[in-house]
Amino acid sequence: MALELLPEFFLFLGIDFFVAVALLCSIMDYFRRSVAYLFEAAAVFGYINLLMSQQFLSFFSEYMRFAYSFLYLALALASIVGVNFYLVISKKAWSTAKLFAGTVTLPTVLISVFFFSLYVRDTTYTLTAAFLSSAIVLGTAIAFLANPDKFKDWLGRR
Amino acid sequence: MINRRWLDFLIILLISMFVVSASAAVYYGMLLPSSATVKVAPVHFIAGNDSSGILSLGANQTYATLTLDAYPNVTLYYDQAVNITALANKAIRLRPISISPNSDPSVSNFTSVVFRLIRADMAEVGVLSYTTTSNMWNVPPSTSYVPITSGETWAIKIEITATPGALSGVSTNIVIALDVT
Repeated sequence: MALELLPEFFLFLGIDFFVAVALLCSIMDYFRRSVAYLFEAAAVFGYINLLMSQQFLSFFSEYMRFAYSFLYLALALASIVGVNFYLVISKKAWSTAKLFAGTVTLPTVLISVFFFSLYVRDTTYTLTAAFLSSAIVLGTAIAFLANPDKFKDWLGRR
Repeated sequence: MINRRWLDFLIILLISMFVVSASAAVYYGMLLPSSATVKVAPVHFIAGNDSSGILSLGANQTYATLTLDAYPNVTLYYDQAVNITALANKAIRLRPISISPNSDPSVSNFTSVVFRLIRADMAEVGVLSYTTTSNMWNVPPSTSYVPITSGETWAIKIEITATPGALSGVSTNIVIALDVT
Protein backbone atom coordinates (compact mmCIF):
# COMPACT_ATOMS: atom_id res chain seq x y z
CA MET A 1 0.00 0.00 0.00
CA ALA A 2 1.48 3.36 -1.05
CA LEU A 3 1.40 5.96 1.69
CA GLU A 4 0.86 9.61 0.87
CA LEU A 5 3.52 12.06 1.93
CA LEU A 6 2.61 14.25 4.87
CA PRO A 7 3.57 17.95 4.71
CA GLU A 8 5.94 17.27 7.63
CA PHE A 9 8.09 15.21 5.28
CA PHE A 10 9.63 18.50 4.13
CA LEU A 11 10.49 19.30 7.74
CA PHE A 12 12.09 15.89 8.08
CA LEU A 13 14.04 16.45 4.86
CA GLY A 14 15.15 19.90 6.04
CA ILE A 15 16.38 18.43 9.35
CA ASP A 16 18.46 15.88 7.44
CA PHE A 17 19.94 18.58 5.23
CA PHE A 18 20.84 20.79 8.18
CA VAL A 19 22.44 17.83 9.95
CA ALA A 20 24.45 16.96 6.82
CA VAL A 21 25.67 20.52 6.32
CA ALA A 22 26.56 20.79 10.03
CA LEU A 23 28.68 17.64 9.83
CA LEU A 24 30.38 18.86 6.66
CA CYS A 25 31.11 22.31 8.11
CA SER A 26 32.60 20.74 11.23
CA ILE A 27 35.26 18.89 9.19
CA MET A 28 36.03 21.67 6.70
CA ASP A 29 38.69 24.23 7.57
CA TYR A 30 36.89 27.07 5.82
CA PHE A 31 34.36 27.73 8.57
CA ARG A 32 34.60 28.90 12.14
CA ARG A 33 33.57 26.35 14.77
CA SER A 34 30.26 27.96 15.68
CA VAL A 35 28.90 27.67 12.11
CA ALA A 36 28.56 23.88 12.44
CA TYR A 37 26.82 24.27 15.79
CA LEU A 38 24.53 26.90 14.28
CA PHE A 39 23.41 24.45 11.60
CA GLU A 40 22.99 21.76 14.25
CA ALA A 41 20.84 24.15 16.29
CA ALA A 42 18.74 24.71 13.16
CA ALA A 43 18.27 20.93 12.91
CA VAL A 44 17.19 20.76 16.56
CA PHE A 45 14.79 23.65 15.89
CA GLY A 46 13.33 21.62 13.02
CA TYR A 47 12.87 18.66 15.34
CA ILE A 48 11.00 20.87 17.83
CA ASN A 49 8.92 22.17 14.94
CA LEU A 50 8.09 18.59 13.97
CA LEU A 51 7.08 17.76 17.54
CA MET A 52 4.83 20.82 17.70
CA SER A 53 3.30 19.92 14.38
CA GLN A 54 2.50 16.46 15.73
CA GLN A 55 0.95 17.84 18.92
CA PHE A 56 -1.20 20.39 17.12
CA LEU A 57 -2.07 18.16 14.18
CA SER A 58 -5.81 18.64 14.58
CA PHE A 59 -5.57 22.44 14.90
CA PHE A 60 -3.38 23.21 11.88
CA SER A 61 -4.75 22.94 8.37
CA GLU A 62 -2.80 20.93 5.82
CA TYR A 63 -1.96 24.05 3.82
CA MET A 64 -0.52 25.75 6.90
CA ARG A 65 1.52 22.64 7.77
CA PHE A 66 2.83 22.56 4.22
CA ALA A 67 3.75 26.27 4.33
CA TYR A 68 5.89 26.10 7.48
CA SER A 69 7.40 22.74 6.55
CA PHE A 70 8.39 23.93 3.08
CA LEU A 71 9.75 27.18 4.51
CA TYR A 72 12.04 25.15 6.75
CA LEU A 73 13.19 22.99 3.84
CA ALA A 74 13.81 26.09 1.73
CA LEU A 75 15.95 27.52 4.55
CA ALA A 76 17.97 24.31 4.67
CA LEU A 77 18.50 24.40 0.91
CA ALA A 78 19.41 28.08 1.06
CA SER A 79 22.02 27.25 3.69
CA ILE A 80 23.55 24.56 1.50
CA VAL A 81 23.58 26.82 -1.56
CA GLY A 82 24.99 29.62 0.60
CA VAL A 83 27.83 27.40 1.82
CA ASN A 84 28.56 26.51 -1.80
CA PHE A 85 28.63 30.16 -2.87
CA TYR A 86 30.79 31.04 0.09
CA LEU A 87 33.36 28.43 -0.93
CA VAL A 88 33.44 29.85 -4.46
CA ILE A 89 33.24 33.59 -3.85
CA SER A 90 34.90 34.16 -0.53
CA LYS A 91 37.38 31.30 -0.23
CA LYS A 92 38.07 30.83 -3.95
CA ALA A 93 38.17 27.11 -3.20
CA TRP A 94 37.11 26.07 -6.70
CA SER A 95 37.80 22.35 -6.46
CA THR A 96 36.13 22.02 -3.05
CA ALA A 97 33.19 24.09 -4.25
CA LYS A 98 32.78 21.92 -7.37
CA LEU A 99 32.95 18.78 -5.27
CA PHE A 100 30.44 20.28 -2.83
CA ALA A 101 28.10 21.27 -5.63
CA GLY A 102 28.22 17.84 -7.23
CA THR A 103 27.88 15.78 -4.07
CA VAL A 104 25.75 17.97 -1.81
CA THR A 105 24.06 20.98 -3.42
CA LEU A 106 22.78 19.38 -6.59
CA PRO A 107 21.57 16.12 -4.99
CA THR A 108 19.77 17.94 -2.17
CA VAL A 109 18.04 20.30 -4.59
CA LEU A 110 17.05 17.41 -6.87
CA ILE A 111 15.78 15.31 -3.96
CA SER A 112 13.70 18.27 -2.74
CA VAL A 113 12.26 18.90 -6.20
CA PHE A 114 11.48 15.20 -6.59
CA PHE A 115 9.59 14.95 -3.30
CA PHE A 116 7.85 18.27 -3.91
CA SER A 117 6.64 16.96 -7.30
CA LEU A 118 5.34 13.83 -5.54
CA TYR A 119 3.55 15.87 -2.92
CA VAL A 120 2.14 18.83 -4.84
CA ARG A 121 -1.65 18.72 -5.10
CA ASP A 122 -2.68 21.93 -6.79
CA THR A 123 -1.36 25.24 -8.05
CA THR A 124 -1.73 26.90 -4.64
CA TYR A 125 1.01 24.69 -3.23
CA THR A 126 3.33 25.43 -6.16
CA LEU A 127 2.73 29.18 -5.84
CA THR A 128 3.33 29.04 -2.09
CA ALA A 129 6.58 27.13 -2.61
CA ALA A 130 7.68 29.64 -5.27
CA PHE A 131 6.80 32.57 -3.02
CA LEU A 132 8.67 31.16 0.00
CA SER A 133 11.73 30.30 -2.11
CA SER A 134 11.77 33.77 -3.66
CA ALA A 135 11.42 35.39 -0.24
CA ILE A 136 14.41 33.43 1.06
CA VAL A 137 16.55 34.24 -1.99
CA LEU A 138 15.64 37.90 -1.65
CA GLY A 139 16.36 37.92 2.09
CA THR A 140 19.74 36.25 1.61
CA ALA A 141 20.68 38.64 -1.18
CA ILE A 142 19.80 41.66 0.95
CA ALA A 143 21.90 40.27 3.84
CA PHE A 144 24.90 39.88 1.54
CA LEU A 145 24.45 43.24 -0.16
CA ALA A 146 23.98 45.14 3.10
CA ASN A 147 27.30 44.13 4.64
CA PRO A 148 29.06 41.46 2.61
CA ASP A 149 32.59 41.75 4.04
CA LYS A 150 31.55 41.60 7.67
CA PHE A 151 29.29 38.61 6.96
CA LYS A 152 31.98 36.76 5.02
CA ASP A 153 34.56 37.52 7.71
CA TRP A 154 32.27 36.14 10.39
CA LEU A 155 31.68 32.94 8.42
CA GLY A 156 35.37 32.29 7.78
CA ARG A 157 36.87 33.09 11.19
CA ARG A 158 37.81 30.06 13.30
CA MET B 1 43.51 22.09 16.58
CA ILE B 2 42.88 18.79 14.77
CA ASN B 3 41.75 17.15 17.99
CA ARG B 4 39.37 19.99 18.70
CA ARG B 5 37.91 19.75 15.20
CA TRP B 6 37.34 16.01 15.57
CA LEU B 7 35.82 16.57 19.01
CA ASP B 8 33.40 19.07 17.43
CA PHE B 9 32.64 16.54 14.72
CA LEU B 10 31.97 13.84 17.31
CA ILE B 11 29.67 16.08 19.35
CA ILE B 12 27.76 17.17 16.24
CA LEU B 13 27.57 13.56 15.04
CA LEU B 14 26.04 12.42 18.33
CA ILE B 15 23.49 15.24 18.35
CA SER B 16 22.75 14.55 14.68
CA MET B 17 22.11 10.87 15.32
CA PHE B 18 19.66 11.75 18.08
CA VAL B 19 17.88 14.45 16.05
CA VAL B 20 17.57 12.35 12.91
CA SER B 21 16.37 9.18 14.64
CA ALA B 22 13.97 11.09 16.90
CA SER B 23 12.50 13.07 14.01
CA ALA B 24 12.15 9.87 11.95
CA ALA B 25 10.27 8.28 14.86
CA VAL B 26 7.98 11.31 15.17
CA TYR B 27 7.29 11.35 11.43
CA TYR B 28 6.63 7.60 11.41
CA GLY B 29 4.24 8.09 14.32
CA MET B 30 2.34 10.70 12.33
CA LEU B 31 2.28 8.45 9.28
CA LEU B 32 0.76 5.42 10.98
CA PRO B 33 -2.57 4.98 9.25
CA SER B 34 -5.64 4.45 11.36
CA SER B 35 -7.55 1.37 10.36
CA ALA B 36 -11.16 0.37 10.72
CA THR B 37 -12.22 -3.26 10.64
CA VAL B 38 -15.82 -4.26 10.10
CA LYS B 39 -17.02 -6.66 12.79
CA VAL B 40 -20.28 -8.10 13.99
CA ALA B 41 -22.01 -5.61 16.30
CA PRO B 42 -21.32 -6.77 19.88
CA VAL B 43 -24.84 -5.77 20.92
CA HIS B 44 -27.75 -6.25 18.54
CA PHE B 45 -31.50 -6.66 18.44
CA ILE B 46 -33.33 -9.99 18.22
CA ALA B 47 -37.01 -10.87 18.24
CA GLY B 48 -38.73 -11.35 21.61
CA ASN B 49 -41.82 -13.31 22.59
CA ASP B 50 -44.13 -10.41 21.68
CA SER B 51 -42.35 -9.35 18.51
CA SER B 52 -44.54 -11.30 16.13
CA GLY B 53 -46.18 -8.96 13.63
CA ILE B 54 -44.81 -5.78 15.20
CA LEU B 55 -41.06 -6.04 14.74
CA SER B 56 -39.02 -5.43 11.66
CA LEU B 57 -35.30 -5.95 12.15
CA GLY B 58 -32.89 -3.95 10.02
CA ALA B 59 -29.80 -5.19 8.24
CA ASN B 60 -27.33 -6.87 10.62
CA GLN B 61 -29.93 -6.43 13.39
CA THR B 62 -28.40 -3.12 14.35
CA TYR B 63 -31.70 -1.32 14.19
CA ALA B 64 -35.29 -2.31 14.77
CA THR B 65 -38.62 -0.81 13.77
CA LEU B 66 -41.67 -1.48 15.91
CA THR B 67 -45.25 -0.84 14.83
CA LEU B 68 -47.31 -0.82 18.01
CA ASP B 69 -51.00 -0.41 18.74
CA ALA B 70 -52.73 1.70 21.35
CA TYR B 71 -56.35 1.58 22.53
CA PRO B 72 -58.39 4.34 24.20
CA ASN B 73 -58.41 4.18 27.99
CA VAL B 74 -56.29 1.04 27.99
CA THR B 75 -52.64 0.39 28.75
CA LEU B 76 -51.20 -2.07 26.29
CA TYR B 77 -48.15 -4.03 27.41
CA TYR B 78 -45.51 -5.58 25.14
CA ASP B 79 -43.35 -7.50 27.62
CA GLN B 80 -40.75 -8.43 25.02
CA ALA B 81 -41.40 -6.05 22.16
CA VAL B 82 -37.80 -6.50 21.09
CA ASN B 83 -34.87 -8.18 22.79
CA ILE B 84 -31.23 -7.18 23.00
CA THR B 85 -28.40 -9.68 22.99
CA ALA B 86 -24.71 -9.13 23.73
CA LEU B 87 -21.75 -10.96 22.21
CA ALA B 88 -19.26 -9.20 24.51
CA ASN B 89 -19.23 -7.51 27.88
CA LYS B 90 -20.55 -4.02 27.23
CA ALA B 91 -22.59 -1.25 28.84
CA ILE B 92 -25.81 -0.04 27.27
CA ARG B 93 -28.39 2.67 27.71
CA LEU B 94 -31.51 4.00 26.01
CA ARG B 95 -31.35 7.53 24.64
CA PRO B 96 -34.27 9.53 23.22
CA ILE B 97 -33.62 10.88 19.73
CA SER B 98 -36.90 12.33 18.50
CA ILE B 99 -40.65 12.16 18.83
CA SER B 100 -43.08 13.45 16.25
CA PRO B 101 -45.50 15.04 15.86
CA ASN B 102 -44.97 17.24 18.88
CA SER B 103 -46.78 20.47 19.81
CA ASP B 104 -49.71 19.09 17.87
CA PRO B 105 -53.35 18.51 18.88
CA SER B 106 -52.98 14.80 18.07
CA VAL B 107 -50.54 14.40 20.99
CA SER B 108 -53.38 14.82 23.46
CA ASN B 109 -54.76 11.43 22.38
CA PHE B 110 -51.89 9.73 24.21
CA THR B 111 -51.21 9.56 27.92
CA SER B 112 -47.81 7.87 27.93
CA VAL B 113 -45.39 5.60 26.11
CA VAL B 114 -42.94 3.88 28.44
CA PHE B 115 -39.86 1.88 27.40
CA ARG B 116 -38.42 -0.34 30.13
CA LEU B 117 -35.05 -2.02 29.87
CA ILE B 118 -35.43 -5.43 31.52
CA ARG B 119 -32.33 -7.38 32.50
CA ALA B 120 -31.99 -11.18 32.07
CA ASP B 121 -32.98 -11.68 35.74
CA MET B 122 -36.17 -9.63 35.02
CA ALA B 123 -34.97 -6.62 37.02
CA GLU B 124 -35.76 -3.23 35.52
CA VAL B 125 -32.54 -1.29 34.89
CA GLY B 126 -33.72 1.72 32.91
CA VAL B 127 -36.89 3.57 31.96
CA LEU B 128 -37.72 6.06 29.24
CA SER B 129 -41.12 7.46 30.04
CA TYR B 130 -42.72 9.74 27.46
CA THR B 131 -45.72 11.51 28.93
CA THR B 132 -48.00 14.19 27.54
CA THR B 133 -49.00 17.60 28.80
CA SER B 134 -51.85 18.86 26.64
CA ASN B 135 -50.38 19.00 23.10
CA MET B 136 -46.78 18.42 24.13
CA TRP B 137 -44.70 15.32 24.68
CA ASN B 138 -42.43 15.43 27.74
CA VAL B 139 -39.19 13.86 26.56
CA PRO B 140 -37.37 11.90 29.29
CA PRO B 141 -33.60 11.98 29.89
CA SER B 142 -31.36 9.13 28.77
CA THR B 143 -31.07 6.14 31.07
CA SER B 144 -27.80 5.38 32.84
CA TYR B 145 -25.33 2.95 31.33
CA VAL B 146 -25.83 -0.57 32.64
CA PRO B 147 -23.30 -3.40 32.14
CA ILE B 148 -24.50 -6.31 30.01
CA THR B 149 -22.58 -9.58 30.07
CA SER B 150 -21.62 -11.52 26.96
CA GLY B 151 -24.30 -14.07 26.06
CA GLU B 152 -27.10 -12.35 27.98
CA THR B 153 -30.42 -11.44 26.39
CA TRP B 154 -32.36 -8.50 27.75
CA ALA B 155 -35.83 -7.30 26.84
CA ILE B 156 -37.36 -3.94 26.04
CA LYS B 157 -40.81 -3.77 27.54
CA ILE B 158 -43.17 -1.15 26.14
CA GLU B 159 -46.34 0.23 27.72
CA ILE B 160 -48.65 2.46 25.71
CA THR B 161 -51.59 4.29 27.22
CA ALA B 162 -54.09 6.30 25.21
CA THR B 163 -56.62 8.72 26.68
CA PRO B 164 -60.32 7.88 27.05
CA GLY B 165 -61.97 8.81 23.77
CA ALA B 166 -58.69 8.87 21.84
CA LEU B 167 -59.24 9.20 18.13
CA SER B 168 -58.66 6.22 15.89
CA GLY B 169 -55.84 6.46 13.37
CA VAL B 170 -53.73 8.93 15.36
CA SER B 171 -50.11 7.93 15.51
CA THR B 172 -46.79 9.03 16.89
CA ASN B 173 -43.22 8.21 15.81
CA ILE B 174 -40.57 7.72 18.44
CA VAL B 175 -36.87 7.24 17.65
CA ILE B 176 -34.63 5.86 20.40
CA ALA B 177 -30.97 5.02 20.30
CA LEU B 178 -29.39 2.07 22.06
CA ASP B 179 -25.96 3.36 23.06
CA VAL B 180 -23.23 0.78 23.54
CA THR B 181 -19.84 1.41 25.16
